[in-house]
Amino acid sequence: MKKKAAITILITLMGIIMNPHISFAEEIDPLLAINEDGSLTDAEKFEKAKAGLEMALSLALDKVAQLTTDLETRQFDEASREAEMRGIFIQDLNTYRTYYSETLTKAQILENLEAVQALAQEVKNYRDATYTPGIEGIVEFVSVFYTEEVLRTARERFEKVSADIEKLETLGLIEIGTFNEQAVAIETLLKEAEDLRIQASDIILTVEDAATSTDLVVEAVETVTTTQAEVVETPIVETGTSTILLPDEVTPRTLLQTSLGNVKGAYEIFLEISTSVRERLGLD
Amino acid sequence: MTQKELIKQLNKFEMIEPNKEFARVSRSVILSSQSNISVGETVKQTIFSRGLSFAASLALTAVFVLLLTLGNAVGPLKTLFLPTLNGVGTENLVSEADVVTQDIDIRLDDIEYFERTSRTVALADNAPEDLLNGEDEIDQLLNEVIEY
Repeated sequence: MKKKAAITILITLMGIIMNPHISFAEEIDPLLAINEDGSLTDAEKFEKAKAGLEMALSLALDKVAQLTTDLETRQFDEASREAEMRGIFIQDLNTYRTYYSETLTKAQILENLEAVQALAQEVKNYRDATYTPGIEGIVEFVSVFYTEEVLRTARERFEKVSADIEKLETLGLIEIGTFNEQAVAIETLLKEAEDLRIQASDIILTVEDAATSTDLVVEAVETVTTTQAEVVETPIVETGTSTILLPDEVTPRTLLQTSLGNVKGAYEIFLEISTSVRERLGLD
Repeated sequence: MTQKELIKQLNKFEMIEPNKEFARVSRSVILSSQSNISVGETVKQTIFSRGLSFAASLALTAVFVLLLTLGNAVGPLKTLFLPTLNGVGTENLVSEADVVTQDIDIRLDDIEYFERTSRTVALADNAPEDLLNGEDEIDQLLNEVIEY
């Protein structure tokens, strides 16, 4: 009986520990709507606000560290444009880390709610004016290489799936051409994903050359509009040190979003093929 | 001798019977003469063959029971006769698809953060907690502290 109770308690504790949504310290629950609790004393409000600010800064530091690691683990030729951009981005990330780190130190010694709120507002302003615009280019840069990796994985999977289908067709276990339609769909999705990734990469890497970038964007627009048939306008967009003409809705970001969406679509078809093969072989 | 007398004479032979010992020995001689095996060995072989057929019956029964038992395992056993399917094999594919999809969703969330120009408004409307991730979560925390 005692043993059963001990096991139950152990399982419950493990459940709590493993669940990221359960906080051990109620007073620092980051997502608790602290400003809605009218029963709190001023001291309690201060503690909660201070804990919230400290948590926001810790999360910001984590995010910066994650992006830094992502950049540092990628291999580029030393003289390449990619390596040059990575160096600039890592410097920027160091600046953001220093800011968040120093601000966290300041937050830890604050003594009243007004001071905490003032510092939170300062951090918010910094993020809106400096951090978010700066980090956008880094996220796009990192996403280009992530998309390249995930596309490679998807293509390897496609090769394996195609080999399996061929094997089963040769053995007469499935009819020849059963999955032709799906194979063509995957091929199209992955090809388009790669084209869009390359176009996004070209725009990001040549962003300093406004004329070249504009040419590349126009080329990207042509590809996207052939499939999406959208009406494209050409507003002016600020990109780092220069201003180039970017057609509406066609940016490295949108190109990468479509590219990654295509990879997800390819995996949905892989799973459909797998289910269908198992049914046809009577394995389900 | 007429035919009638002959039949009468033959009918008398029905009454003739060999003595029991002669019948037993004659039977053994006839049986052993088929394969030049002695009577004693014949008896032994008979016992052995009966034992053998009993063992065979047991073995056949065991095989039958085994087949019945494995009846439900026919499906899985099928896979033994199929070629290795590295591409459409369920486990690997499903786990890879899960990882890739989740990873892409995280990346898309990072990318989409920058196009949420009205994110402050959205956050003020108390967006569901599970939709907040990374940068959004930081913004949410700061907004809460400021509006306290």
